[in-house]
Amino acid sequence: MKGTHLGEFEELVMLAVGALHPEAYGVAIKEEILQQTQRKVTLSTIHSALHRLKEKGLLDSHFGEATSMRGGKRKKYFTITAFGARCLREAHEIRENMYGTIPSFILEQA
Amino acid sequence: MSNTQQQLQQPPQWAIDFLHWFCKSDLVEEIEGDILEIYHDNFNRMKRWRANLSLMFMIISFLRPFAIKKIKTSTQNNRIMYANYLKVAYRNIRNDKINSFISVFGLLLAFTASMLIYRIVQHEINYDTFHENSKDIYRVILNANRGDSWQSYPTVGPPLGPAIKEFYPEIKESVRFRYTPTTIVSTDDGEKQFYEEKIFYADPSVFEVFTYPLTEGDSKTALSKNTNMVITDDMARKYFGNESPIGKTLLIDNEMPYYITGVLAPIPGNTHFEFDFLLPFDAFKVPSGYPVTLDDFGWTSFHTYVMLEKDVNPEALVSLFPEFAKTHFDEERLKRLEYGLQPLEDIYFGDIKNENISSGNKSYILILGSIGVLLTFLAAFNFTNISVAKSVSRAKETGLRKTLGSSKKSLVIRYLSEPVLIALSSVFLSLMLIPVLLPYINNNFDLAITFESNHWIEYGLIFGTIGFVIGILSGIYPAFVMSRYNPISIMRGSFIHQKSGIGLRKALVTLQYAITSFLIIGSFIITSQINFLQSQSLGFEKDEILLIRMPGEELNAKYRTIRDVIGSNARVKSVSVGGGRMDGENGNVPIMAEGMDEAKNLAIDAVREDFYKTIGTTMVAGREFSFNHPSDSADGIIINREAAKYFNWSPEEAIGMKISVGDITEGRIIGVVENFHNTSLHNTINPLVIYYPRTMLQDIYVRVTPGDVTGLISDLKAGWSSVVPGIPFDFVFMNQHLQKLYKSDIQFSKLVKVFAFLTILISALGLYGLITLVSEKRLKEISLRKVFGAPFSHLILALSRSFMILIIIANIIAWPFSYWMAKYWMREFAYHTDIHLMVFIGALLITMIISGITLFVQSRKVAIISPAKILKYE
Repeated sequence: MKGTHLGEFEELVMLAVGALHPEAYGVAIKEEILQQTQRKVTLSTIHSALHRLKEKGLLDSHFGEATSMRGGKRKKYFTITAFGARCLREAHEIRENMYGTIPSFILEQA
Repeated sequence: MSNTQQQLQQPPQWAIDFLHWFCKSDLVEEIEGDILEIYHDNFNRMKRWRANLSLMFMIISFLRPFAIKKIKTSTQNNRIMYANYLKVAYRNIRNDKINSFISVFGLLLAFTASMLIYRIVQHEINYDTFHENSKDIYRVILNANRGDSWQSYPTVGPPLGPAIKEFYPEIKESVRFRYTPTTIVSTDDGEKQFYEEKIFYADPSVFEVFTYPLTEGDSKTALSKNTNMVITDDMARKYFGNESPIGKTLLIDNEMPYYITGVLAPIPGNTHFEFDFLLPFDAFKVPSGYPVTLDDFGWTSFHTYVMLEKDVNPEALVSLFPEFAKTHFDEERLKRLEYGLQPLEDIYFGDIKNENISSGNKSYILILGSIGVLLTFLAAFNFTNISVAKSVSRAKETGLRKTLGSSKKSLVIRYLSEPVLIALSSVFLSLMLIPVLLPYINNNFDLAITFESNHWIEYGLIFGTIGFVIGILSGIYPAFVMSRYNPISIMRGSFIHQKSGIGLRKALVTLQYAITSFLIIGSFIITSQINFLQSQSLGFEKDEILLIRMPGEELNAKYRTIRDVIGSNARVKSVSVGGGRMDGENGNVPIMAEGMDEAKNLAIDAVREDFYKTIGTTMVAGREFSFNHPSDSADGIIINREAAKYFNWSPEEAIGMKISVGDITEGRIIGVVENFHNTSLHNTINPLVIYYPRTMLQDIYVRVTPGDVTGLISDLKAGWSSVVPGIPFDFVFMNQHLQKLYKSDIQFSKLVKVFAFLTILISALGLYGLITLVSEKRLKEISLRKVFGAPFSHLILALSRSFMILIIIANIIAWPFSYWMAKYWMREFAYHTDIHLMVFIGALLITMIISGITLFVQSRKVAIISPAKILKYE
């Protein structure tokens, strides 16, 4: 369990990587999170999370094309590994399950 | 458009460089790319500075652990290895306390001694360099022809100072000094009253030429009025305690009041010219009875210094001096005198001596410096010997490390770092010790050395470097030899039996003992020379003479009464008055004797009646000045035996000869006195002409009988106060006074003795450490010998024989060097003792005995071990 545990922000990044597949790289993920959640995250936070997730084996990466916008530097694309997909699914299921146990009148208050 | 945009979009390069500097290389590409992408996006939307600012924040935000380079990018586990080295080094030191102690203690002794010596030498060779203009200041000297030779005098006539400045535009400033004989100085209420010896009259320009800052008062006006006076801060404290002396008065000779207008800041100890009081030169009056005026160029008693303009060549200036001299002297005198310049910084070690001025001895400084260097060598040898010997016994550790994969490089570092660390910590400890020791050193050796804050860095750097080099050198042999060996041969133990490092060790031990014997012999010879000087007959009986000093004028007026009062004491044998204290020449004047073609400059002296009876010198012929012959005071002259020889007379022939003493007096010779030393034994006895003084003398000589000194002094003092109540009873015993003449010799011999002792100590310590290590390695051999029935004495001999042979060789090597050095030093003295063979034998015996004891103590330990204990492992 411990190895598969995802932090809230890590989960967000994972989701963004999946949504952007196969073109998930630092800046794109940052934009995606901004658009979807209105959260302004610094680039280094994204990179830090990506780095951590890769160390855990949840993400994989490969270099992509270089552009002049990037000063000739290549993009690094991240993809979700099979293990990452399982973790993401497990996290999702846990939420689904717990969501289902909440009495419906509580959710309907708002 | 796109072109300009391209140019504008260049981000600040240094920010990118910064990113590259700290960011991991495998992450930097993606990060930089993302940052630039955002930057370019920002650039289109915001002002340039905002985009740049945001870029910087972005980069700074990457200073996170995941992105920062590892400080150490090594694949080896070095840290543990180095920690282990430290641990092993510590265990080594702890397990071998004796040798660790010897290494550190030896180095500590040597570094401390060398630092002290270095400080002394530095102090000595920097005499007078504290004056800002010291390079441009010169003393005007007078070279006078003494018949067959030229002699230099440090003083010139009073008008020369201002006149020479006027004459040559190259001379920026000049200052004259006039020495005052011992004088009573008192506060105006008469409460404090002392004899003072260091009073000088000086031109106000003294503060422009020399760097004597005032703590109180204005140096521009301090000596501007005839009644002004400047004193040192020591004197301010002596007379006025903690009060400010400015505006207060001091009486000179109980009559002239001077107003204090300045207090001098403490003057560095290394000044050749010491004074306590400065009076304006214009206040100086020619003492009554002197047949001279202040306009007389021939009255050569004034120290005169000039400061040249920058970049003036002093030699070129001196070559112009005859032109100046011509305006004041006639042709005849010009042949016999010329002026010269002596650089201020050369005066201390120069050979123009003068009683008011301290002088140094360059050969002493040289010898002292060499001792410092030798001491350092000695300790370095010890250190090397012990670390070489130890490295052999630590071979197994090295072998094991090699087997486990230590690289040669890391072994070398390991062998070098240990001694370097020990040496550097010794330097550090020595530096800590210096300020603690300095007061004792100054006290015992009569020195005035200081150790100031700027010395810390200087000494730390110099001795740190020396320590580092010693550490490296002593580690270099074990480092390279030991790390080279095949671990298998080391582990098998066959290596131990190799004669590794023995040659080096033998050479070092020999050299070490040669240095030790050299210093022992040196200190023997120096001591015997000093003893010789003390016991040397001076031609008069220096014991039981009491010298009392009083102002000449007073003495002249009341001499008869004083003489009667002192002479009436039962323990006083005789009383007389002399013109000095047998501590230096009293001057030279041209002497013209019957039968001579031209006058020759000879030394003169002035004494009163019964002088030679009082000091215990016999008359060879004739008689001395006597109260029974009143005419003596008019035209009586005495010469010494040397002078009779100089004039080619037998003592008897000399009696009745006509002789004239400069412009002072002329008369007939009434007696010839046996030769006696009226200067120190550094000089020979010169021809001397003695006249009956017209001017006042100030030294009363009293011959007393041996016995209770305190009672005698209080009796004499009581009598003295009844005659001259206002004058302090200022006395000294002749033999004590004469000690001062040999102050620097005695100081030097003390220093050499101490350092010789240190070398013996260091050498003995080194030998002890060495024999400990060597005997440990020969345990098996000794045990076998024992099993086969070798007696105890043979075992001791077996262990110590090779060392004893080295020590004998070392002594023989040291002999010629010490002999040569002793001869060199002896040149300082006109009279010297013989160098006995016993001195050399003595040094040999001392080194043999001390090392013999050292060797015996340690080899005995080995020899009494039961052989079974050692051999049971075989």
